[in-house]
Amino acid sequence: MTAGALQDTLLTDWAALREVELFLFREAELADTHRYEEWLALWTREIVYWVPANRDDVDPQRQVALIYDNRARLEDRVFRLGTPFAHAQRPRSKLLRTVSNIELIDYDPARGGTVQSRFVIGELRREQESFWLGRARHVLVREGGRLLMKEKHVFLLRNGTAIGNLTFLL
Amino acid sequence: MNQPAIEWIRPAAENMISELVKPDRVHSRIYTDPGIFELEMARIFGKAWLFIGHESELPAPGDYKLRLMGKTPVIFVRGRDKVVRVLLNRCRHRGAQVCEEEEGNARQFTCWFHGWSFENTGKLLGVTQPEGYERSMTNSDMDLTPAPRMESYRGFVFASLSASGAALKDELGLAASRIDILTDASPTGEIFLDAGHHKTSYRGNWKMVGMDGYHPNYLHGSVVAGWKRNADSGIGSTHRDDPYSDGALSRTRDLGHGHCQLDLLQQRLKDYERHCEYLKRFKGGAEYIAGMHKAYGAERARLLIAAGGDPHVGVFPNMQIVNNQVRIINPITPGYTELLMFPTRIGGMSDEMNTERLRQHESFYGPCGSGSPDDAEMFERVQRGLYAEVDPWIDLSRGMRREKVDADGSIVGLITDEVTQRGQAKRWAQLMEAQG
Repeated sequence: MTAGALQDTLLTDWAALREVELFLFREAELADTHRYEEWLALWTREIVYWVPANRDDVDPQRQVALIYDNRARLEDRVFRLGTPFAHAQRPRSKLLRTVSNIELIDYDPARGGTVQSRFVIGELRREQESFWLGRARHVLVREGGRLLMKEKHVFLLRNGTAIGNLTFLL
Repeated sequence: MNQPAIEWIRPAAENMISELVKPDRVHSRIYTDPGIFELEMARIFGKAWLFIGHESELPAPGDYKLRLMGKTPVIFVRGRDKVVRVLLNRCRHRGAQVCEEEEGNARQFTCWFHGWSFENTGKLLGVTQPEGYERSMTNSDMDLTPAPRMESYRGFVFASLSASGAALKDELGLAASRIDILTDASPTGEIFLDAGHHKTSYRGNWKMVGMDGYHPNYLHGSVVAGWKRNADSGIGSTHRDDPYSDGALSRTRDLGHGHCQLDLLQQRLKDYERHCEYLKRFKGGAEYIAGMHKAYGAERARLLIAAGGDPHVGVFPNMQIVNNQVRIINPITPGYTELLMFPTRIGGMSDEMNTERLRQHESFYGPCGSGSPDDAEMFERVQRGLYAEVDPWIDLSRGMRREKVDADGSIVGLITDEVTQRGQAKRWAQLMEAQG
């Protein structure tokens, strides 16, 4: 590798990166284990939870999304999953996700900022094993000392293909 | 070009259709049997008018979308002459698909097997090393093959792989006036399928995507519970006062030719004033209501506004217009179906109103919605259950004694009645039994 191809990171940035990493790992754990209310508690009051359909580079005001939730719609989603009648999650998906390639983009440890990552989600439901790959962009903010999600954008590798049931928390 | 209808498979199932479809029940095999599926591909999807797409999907010359007519891959394209066509996606030389991107804009389609190229009108532009042929290929009949028949109704383009058959208007019959409920939701009669689509799938037979007014309160119990929390959120605003109870003004209708409807119009009309208040909360809402009255007169405008562009109709065999979307049903195998959902943008509504319609759609439909995945889950449970063939019959008798023939000739029942399923099964059997 050519020297300087990768930017070395300051020690202070490592601490910020580690905090973000632990936040994303925590989020992954809550989503994997269907702890809906605890996952919801990771969000700020005003939120955008966006999973585009068809392509990544679309205007969500003009193009249909798989998910484009504000606070009210996200609360509906979590409420519904908690009822006994969310059949597409009965039985629930067994999930195991890996979050990696975490990068801080325009990020200030005191206030938060934008964070980019990649994920692989393994899903087992009935006899079907599925893999969901993609990139995620989080907008994190620091409120009362702790990090919270203000926005989460999920760019699925296969958002342009036929999908049957994607009802667990991404 | 006048080839006979595609019908090269004649399984033993051919002579069993009348044994499998009875007035009050159907046999599991019509959903599970591979021979029946092949016969459907020939006799229904190889002949009937199939919905291909809407002209608004192709605004510019060269715009195209790939679609399926049963197993037949086609290119839905607007040529450089601005004419919309349905062309078979198959090189006239050795049969390779000439277009692989699901959508885009192209001046020409090239088969990269041997380098033949075709204009976006389908005309053969050139063959490589033409001296190898004794005739001039570009003056021959080697253009991309168009679907044998193509017609459109109010911008909705239909095609048939059979060179003969009823005209589209005759086949649509009563369904045409239901399509009008969508197009006339615009004061200028303009709707656009330009907001992308949801591509969903389920491991079940294509005929399970029916029109069923009996299931919502049970299958969608999680959503109904949510609507009760907030009647103004998303689709909740169009589902007040339980439209799916037999006490509602909602009706099921068999419109003939397998076209079926959950007719929610009178139920929604009851809520007209409240619905107007909802629309007026958006920028452009009041102007939209006024524009509708000016365009259609008070009585029709009230009906159209209340309907919200949703006839809730199934146009047999592969099209549905449900809530804010137009659907295409693609059978892939007896036990696997893809369902495309295209949210509609309504001309004369503000951007804010159309964006809200997108959000309503997403809240219930698509692979991450609150409704579609539960429907798909149930279709899959049915498909698995149908293999229990000791008692192979599926009961469709609900409401048989109380159904009536309405003034317009449609068969009408209460909203939970299986009028729609019986109508679809009846048409299915007619088409499957038709010879030649």
